[in-house]
Amino acid sequence: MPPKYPQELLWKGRQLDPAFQSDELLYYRVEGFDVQGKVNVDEIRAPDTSVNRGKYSRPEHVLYASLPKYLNFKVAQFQVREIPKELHTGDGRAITFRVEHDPTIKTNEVDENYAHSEIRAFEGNERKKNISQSVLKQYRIKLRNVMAPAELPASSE
Amino acid sequence: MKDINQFTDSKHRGREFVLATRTQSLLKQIELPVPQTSSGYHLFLSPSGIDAASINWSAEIQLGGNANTRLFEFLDDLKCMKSLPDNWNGYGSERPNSRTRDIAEWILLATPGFRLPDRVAPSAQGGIGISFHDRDKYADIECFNTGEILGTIVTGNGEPEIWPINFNEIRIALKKIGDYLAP
Repeated sequence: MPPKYPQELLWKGRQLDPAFQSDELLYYRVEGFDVQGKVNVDEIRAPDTSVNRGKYSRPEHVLYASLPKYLNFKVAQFQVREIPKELHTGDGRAITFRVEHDPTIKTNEVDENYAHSEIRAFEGNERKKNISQSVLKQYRIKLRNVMAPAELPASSE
Repeated sequence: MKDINQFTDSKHRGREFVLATRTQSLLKQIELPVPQTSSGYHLFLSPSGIDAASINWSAEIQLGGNANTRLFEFLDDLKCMKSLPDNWNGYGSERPNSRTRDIAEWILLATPGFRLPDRVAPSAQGGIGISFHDRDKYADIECFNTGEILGTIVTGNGEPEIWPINFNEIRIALKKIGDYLAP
């Protein structure tokens, strides 16, 4: 019998909260950690890295997506200030990264999740999705370096 | 450590045959030049026929021991990736396409004589990651569904070196990674 979907993740009429403290924790679901205790680079997606924010959720809540598919997965955590801030393309353009609150509404494929947020890429103020894989690889390697295993309750492990 | 006799039973001999024929079809399909230099992989490409390729693959197995069991497992993993659905990881990622699986297979078949990877997995970027670890060093070759291939080497939390890899530079990349991880 899978556990019930966490009530904390429901919107319950709350508004968007764009403010992130630099020490707020972000949680990312992973299949596991490698022999170096780090997240496998191939598990990190960018841009639009999908995370849950610690202000409104607990680490194990990222395992409740598509319940019960990911309940045996692990959780990586890092602080907002550890997100790689700026990287440069081969022709010198600056790509910046920042986390934005992006609560999701329940659909056929997506669960309702007020804590959901995304680390997005920008060039100036323009959001970018089409970025060279070389820049994204730098971002993913740097993010891997700051991701640490989150402590989960015994029932989630 | 397995010895060569454990790899030359009928089951593995059959796989050797498949690998040899598959390699030849891959070459034709993606029009790669036949590697001219040492370290084994060119043995696969012998024009003298499947028998010769099979014999030479056995020689590679003798060199590789347990490593080649893992190579077979990785090749099986690649086949399994064919049945992955899109959004296989819940993050909206594409499954590796057939071209990427072929390129990853090509890379794996080029590893005898170099270092065998520690992990072969679908990439959240849409593609396949082939990664290597040694103490605090990390390296990978990532094949993207776009056809792009990137190599990466990094020590600890240092600055990574990331470079594009052309089809005909795969062996060079594998040598670079092997030299970097265990100088």
